[in-house]
Amino acid sequence: MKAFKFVYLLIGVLLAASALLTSMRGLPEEDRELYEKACMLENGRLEQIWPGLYISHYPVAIRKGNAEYVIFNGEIKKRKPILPVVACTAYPSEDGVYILVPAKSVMDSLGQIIEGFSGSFEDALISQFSINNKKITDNQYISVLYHEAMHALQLSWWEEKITALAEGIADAEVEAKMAETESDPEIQAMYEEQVELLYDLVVPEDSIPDAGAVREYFRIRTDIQDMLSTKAGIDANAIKSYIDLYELLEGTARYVEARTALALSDEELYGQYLLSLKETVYGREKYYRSGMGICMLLDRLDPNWKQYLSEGSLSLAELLENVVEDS
Amino acid sequence: MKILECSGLVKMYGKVKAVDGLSFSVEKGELLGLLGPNGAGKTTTIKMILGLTSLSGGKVIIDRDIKIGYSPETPYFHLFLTGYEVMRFYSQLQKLDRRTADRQIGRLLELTGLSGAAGKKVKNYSKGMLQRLAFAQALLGEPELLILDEPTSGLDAVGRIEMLGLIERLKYEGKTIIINSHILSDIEKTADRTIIIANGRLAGMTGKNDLACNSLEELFVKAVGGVAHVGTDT
Amino acid sequence: MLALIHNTFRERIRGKTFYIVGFIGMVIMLFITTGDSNLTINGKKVTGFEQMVPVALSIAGFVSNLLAVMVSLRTIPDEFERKTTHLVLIRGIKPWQYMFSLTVGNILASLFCMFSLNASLAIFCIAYGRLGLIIPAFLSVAIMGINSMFLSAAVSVMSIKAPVYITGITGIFIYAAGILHGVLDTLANTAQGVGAVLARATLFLIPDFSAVQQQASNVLTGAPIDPEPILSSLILLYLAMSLTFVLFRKEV
Repeated sequence: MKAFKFVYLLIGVLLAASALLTSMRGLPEEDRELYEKACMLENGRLEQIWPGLYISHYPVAIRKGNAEYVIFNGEIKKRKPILPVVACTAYPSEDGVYILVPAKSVMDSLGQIIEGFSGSFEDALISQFSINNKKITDNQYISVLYHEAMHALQLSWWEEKITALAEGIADAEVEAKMAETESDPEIQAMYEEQVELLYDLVVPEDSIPDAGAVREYFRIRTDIQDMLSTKAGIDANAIKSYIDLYELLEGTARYVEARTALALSDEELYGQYLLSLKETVYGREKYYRSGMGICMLLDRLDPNWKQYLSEGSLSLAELLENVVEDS
Repeated sequence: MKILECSGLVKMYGKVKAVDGLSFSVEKGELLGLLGPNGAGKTTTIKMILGLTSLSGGKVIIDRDIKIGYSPETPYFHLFLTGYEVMRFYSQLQKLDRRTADRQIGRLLELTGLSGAAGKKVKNYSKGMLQRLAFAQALLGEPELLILDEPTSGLDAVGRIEMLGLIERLKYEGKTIIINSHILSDIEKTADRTIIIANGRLAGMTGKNDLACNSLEELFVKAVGGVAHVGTDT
Repeated sequence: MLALIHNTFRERIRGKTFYIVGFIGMVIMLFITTGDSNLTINGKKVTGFEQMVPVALSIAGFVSNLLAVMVSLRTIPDEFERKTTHLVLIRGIKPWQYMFSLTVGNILASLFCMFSLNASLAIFCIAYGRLGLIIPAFLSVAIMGINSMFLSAAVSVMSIKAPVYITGITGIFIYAAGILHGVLDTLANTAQGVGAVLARATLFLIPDFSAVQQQASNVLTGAPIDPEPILSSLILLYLAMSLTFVLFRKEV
């Protein structure tokens, strides 16, 4: 019995020691590799994504469990998470803007949560019990990294632009009222028409978008905003500011995601972004997509649009309208 | 020489006192009979001696190194095992080496008349066969103290006689035996001394308490209360 | 203790059980590996033997884990109820030795079921000429076996004190929570408050079955293996088994 007790105790000590050593490893290898792969795009592929968008210029804090691993200037430092909850965001702090992302394994779980709510129950169950239940591909993860990097760039360089737009929707009820009203069948029908039109404009990527079709897109867009204003009782300018803000912030970030997929030569992933253009969704998400679509149109109309957007005061939609008028 | 001493044993099951201040001792080489009506606390007393249940009070003084064999009233075995495998299993628990175990198992199965059924699964055994197997496993390892709870239960007349003969033989071999039985004649035939337990207490004892009774039956009835069917002329 | 472990294992695994479980495994493997099934995962049809193998292992793993709960549920309660405890304990076997041995017996039986279910995969690997998959598949099954071991240990330990039906339900709950560990952990980390704290505390005590399965998958695909979830699960298994040293029923 003494021998048994000794061996059992020894096993416990070995397990504890191994676990301790493993936890001291720091950032999981998988996340380290994904970060490095993302940084490799800076060598010659950034023009495809967004000029000057260097992930390595920002500290990236990857959260796993109760720790964050901050990668910056070739170093990895462990710290307590600065946010109380898991989040994917750009976070301004005293020493600069941080990119906060969950570890890949956590993103897989988040993907499973999303699928559980949006997909079929059988699919969710099968994938959950599968021994390989990765929900986010590596390329998707890298795309998300670039999405948040874009936010970091916006916080660093577009502060005035964002502030100006945000002032226009100082009333926090704008979003709530829009959300209540947009499910109106008439408005929904117009949204469907709008997204179909945008999709038809964006998808044939090797042709110049038809100016008439773009104007038609803006006509429907204006009609929707007017109808929202009337039915929700909100100032039309506030609605415009709201849409412009999210198309600027999230639309460009979503565009960067899609372009990252292309830079990674992931045609399938890029195709998913394109397909999302013609889905009707509720809430802010629609402006992520419409913003992305406008960016893609601008790509084909004016190669310098990113510069105009960064330096000027026009919104994405205004920029597109101007470009179409000039063409 | 005392091999076992029970002093002031108490066992509570909730508010119910199953054993209430029971004290007795067993001498080496003695065959002690435990007698009492159903629910008197005999089996509980045995379980306290064996350490199968905790004591609510009192103490059991017994040599730590003494080998004890126990045959339960209702023997339970792993039904998927054969008679031989049951014996083998218990011999392994007792850390008997293979040779010694096989030798003892063969002898004990022979002794209890189970040699022919050793290869049969226990689930196919009759009650009498199970009782014999219980007795056989109790003798594994050549214990010094044997505790037999209703050893003749389920046996036919011939079986009973054979069992009692075995018990007598073991007594003469020097084993200390405690028998719990409700069959007065069995106890009367074999026991050197008998204690009677009623309502968890010591109600009577032969050989120590002279109650001027003619038979164990009389003593039993007197101790537990009730009408004696005494077939005497008195 | 070895005699007790052996006896428990034998009781849990009878001749018929092996054949039935092995037959179920063969049927599962046959269905999945024939390639003509309409099995789809995430809208994509699953074809090709190499794609089938993880699917087959997943399904076998699911069945194995449920079997681990079933196999371990009644072992200890039966010992007490039919009073086979008496003739064991009077032979100088200490209660902790008894409980530990029964638990180990359950664990071994659960592993046996798991390997039986997956054994036919080796046959199919040979039949399809994929000999190179046999060893990775075996290692993958061994890693997934850690989940079965924990489930078996947890159910065994609970059954010492709790009624069978509560043990069974809790065992299934532990399995579900283990599989959904990553999702639940993420949800708990995106929320605040007492509920989130309780959820995190509960999840701390349950291994991440999903992450362990992921490592099993990595063995098959040749991806790097993260030892952390495996070690965490082994530690929790160790702690669960250690509870057998202190838990026992008052009345035998």
